[in-house]
Amino acid sequence: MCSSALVFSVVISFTFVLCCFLLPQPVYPCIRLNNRPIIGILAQENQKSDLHPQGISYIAASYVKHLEAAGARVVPVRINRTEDEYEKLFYSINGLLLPGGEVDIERSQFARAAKIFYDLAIKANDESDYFPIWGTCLGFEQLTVLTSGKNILTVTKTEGVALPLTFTQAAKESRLFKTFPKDLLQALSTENITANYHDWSLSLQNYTNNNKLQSFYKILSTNTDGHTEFISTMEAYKYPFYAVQWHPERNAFEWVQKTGMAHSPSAVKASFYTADFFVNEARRNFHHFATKTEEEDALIYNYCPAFKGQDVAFLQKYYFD
Amino acid sequence: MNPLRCATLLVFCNTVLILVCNAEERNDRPIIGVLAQEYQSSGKSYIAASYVKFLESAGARVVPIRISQSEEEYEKLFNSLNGVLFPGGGANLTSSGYAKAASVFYRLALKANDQGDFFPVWGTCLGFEELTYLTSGELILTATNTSNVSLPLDFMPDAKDSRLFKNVPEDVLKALATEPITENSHHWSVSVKSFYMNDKLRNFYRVLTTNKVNLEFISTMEAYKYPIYGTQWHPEKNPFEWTRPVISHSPSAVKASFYIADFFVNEARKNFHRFSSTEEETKALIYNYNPVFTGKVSSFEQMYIFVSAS
Repeated sequence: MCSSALVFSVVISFTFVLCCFLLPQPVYPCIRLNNRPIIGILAQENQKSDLHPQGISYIAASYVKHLEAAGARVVPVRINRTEDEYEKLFYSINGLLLPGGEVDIERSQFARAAKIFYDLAIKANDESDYFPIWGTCLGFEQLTVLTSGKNILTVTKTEGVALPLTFTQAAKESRLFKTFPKDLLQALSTENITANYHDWSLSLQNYTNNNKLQSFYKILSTNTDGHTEFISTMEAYKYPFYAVQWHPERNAFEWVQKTGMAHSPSAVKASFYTADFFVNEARRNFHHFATKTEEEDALIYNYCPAFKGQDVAFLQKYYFD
Repeated sequence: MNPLRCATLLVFCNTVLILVCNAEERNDRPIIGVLAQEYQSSGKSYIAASYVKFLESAGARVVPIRISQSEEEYEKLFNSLNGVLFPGGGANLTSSGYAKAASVFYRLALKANDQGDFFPVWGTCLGFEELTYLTSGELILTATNTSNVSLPLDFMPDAKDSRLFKNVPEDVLKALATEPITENSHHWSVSVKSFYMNDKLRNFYRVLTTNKVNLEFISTMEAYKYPIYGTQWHPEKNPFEWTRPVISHSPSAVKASFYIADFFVNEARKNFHRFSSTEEETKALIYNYNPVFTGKVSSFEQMYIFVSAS
């Protein structure tokens, strides 16, 4: 029995070596990929400034387009659902995106749903069920509250400003940035292509003084408003969780003419490569809907976004009841 | 005027010109028109949403170009747009509303480019075939068994230096050349033989890639002297169409799609046409329309369906 086990082990190892070195090398050699990833985007309560809502919650279409552009399909994750409903959805999708917005990151329905998914993701990853989460702007801030258990954000003057990123030493070997082409990293660090629309930030100081955050997330880039240095990009050390305080999706998909917007070719590439990275993370998850019909019924294709005009922050919004 | 003042004035004018020209070097708000076509015999017309998403993903906005408009309406639209895309489909290449609109835009594009007004045109599949018809005046297609196959591209020796491919990263070019990424869903092709036997085509377009199924046919081309490009294959399907198993959704396939769109949108950035007002621009954009979810019944996940000609 021992010798059969040995033979079996040798055969498997030989096959593995053959596979890795003799077959054509795709981007992720020998890692099985789910090339039909479906990513959930969390909806949130309407903006106070939205005078003509067509539902009680919304998702800005730019987040949907951002993920679709990198080869994912999207499912809206509604607010006000039960834990059981969220758990069922969690095991049907391959990743979650927490978008930007304005809701309360401790008391809103958005925050409640985010916590449920976050806890499920921690548990799944701990059991080697690779489940990635991405947070943009408010989503970044939401992750800091979920990880640390408290809100330690500070006010910064960062509403409507496009900045280059100040990369940390760790950035270029990070999971997120090592897939980026060199010329794009150069552009990100020298051109004003990361759009900032936030009044709050996680300061470097508060991050450093918080054990939970410091041991959970690696800083990849910082920025400053001239007074406070804050974290602009981070990734978790041991979980596939990623967050940006800036808006990669706006460069390609939002066209309001106001300060802080960036539409240069490098800005658009930055948009694609961030989505491409995250969708590739979702390709490492193999959850799926129980039936094809359930999958089809959940997709965002079932919904029509409302055109809000070109002079507001979100060109198109999906509304939900 | 004394020579010194004259010289100073000249230097001043040139400096202003240089600054203005550099400021105008690139249009970072490109708007590209996508041609609609007849929707079976319903009296309606459509655009598959994947073409819209393809262009939007590379930082363009999209305007639908409806069929059965007058030449004046098309000319006004042409002078408002920064590029045009002729999508795939099944419309008649000579007599359909699609063909008539394509003919107007093609003619206007040639004239504009001849006058130094850079205006790019892209043709995918049917659009590629339409370009060969518009350039040569003839239909020189041959039937091929290519309605449901994904293929790597056979690059011509110097194709990687072409305008289309020279800025595509090495790893993406390698994937295009070795992996079955490019989706073919056409019953007709332009054979290499027919292409080279046709003077007009041979002198107008440079062949960048071919493929061989039954016979060798042209899969990618770019015009020598105009920003006109065509693929017989579908770069827009890999990220956005999910109904048919033949479509590759690998990371390389998605990246290749992005880089093709990125190339064409960057071409459109060299054009400076504008709508006459923001209101007109806003009214024309595809955001005013909502696509129908047709993925359960069609090979397109979503389609914009236009119920009347205007």
